[in-house]
Amino acid sequence: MPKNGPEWRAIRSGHLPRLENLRDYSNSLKSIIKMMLSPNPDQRPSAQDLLENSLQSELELELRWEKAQNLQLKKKIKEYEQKLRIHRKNSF
Amino acid sequence: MEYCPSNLRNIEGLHIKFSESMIRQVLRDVCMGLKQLHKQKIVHLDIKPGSYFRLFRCINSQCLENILYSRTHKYKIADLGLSRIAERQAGEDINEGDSRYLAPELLSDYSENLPDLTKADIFSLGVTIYELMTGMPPPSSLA
Repeated sequence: MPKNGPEWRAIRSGHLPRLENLRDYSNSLKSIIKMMLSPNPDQRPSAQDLLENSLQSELELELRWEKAQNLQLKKKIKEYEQKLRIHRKNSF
Repeated sequence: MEYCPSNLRNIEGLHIKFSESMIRQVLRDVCMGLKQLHKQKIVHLDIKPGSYFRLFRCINSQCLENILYSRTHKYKIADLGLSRIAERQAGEDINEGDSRYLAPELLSDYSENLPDLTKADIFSLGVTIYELMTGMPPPSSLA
């Protein structure tokens, strides 16, 4: 087993000072990387977790938002249709 | 597999700074590959910059300097030389991968509680991205 250097060990115990000092990246991206480098494997996200929660592109987020909107509108349409049906029944 | 004239290590050699969106693209592409591997209970165990091959749809190595700006490119995982089934026998050594990217649990003796090996790939990908963001290679275990 090779002797391990201090920075090598630091990364593996969750100390990432160089990462935290970087200015060009968002905090959300930095925290993703920090989670991926958790010393405890159970605390790291799986590839699927990452894809579903952290790494969606703007386009995907937009699509998800539009789909949610769409679902809301469909619900509204159903509500109105039902109201209309009741209204028609009562007026005859 | 498609012709891939360049890998992440070569791209780094061009001294191009990886922007947030480029980093996210690498993460997304590699996670898609890892998800497929892990679903089949296979772990790569040697994830590092040289293990990603950028896929060109246009086969033209002349455009190497511009590859980072084209929308048609994707990162792919390659070099599955150390990949294996994601089950570890008690007391078995599996730390042949590049030690700079190696997850800590692969070095300790987990004779009772066997770790989820797929998370070792996630760690190595984390170190790889750390390298792309800081612009410095990760520390060697021998330093």
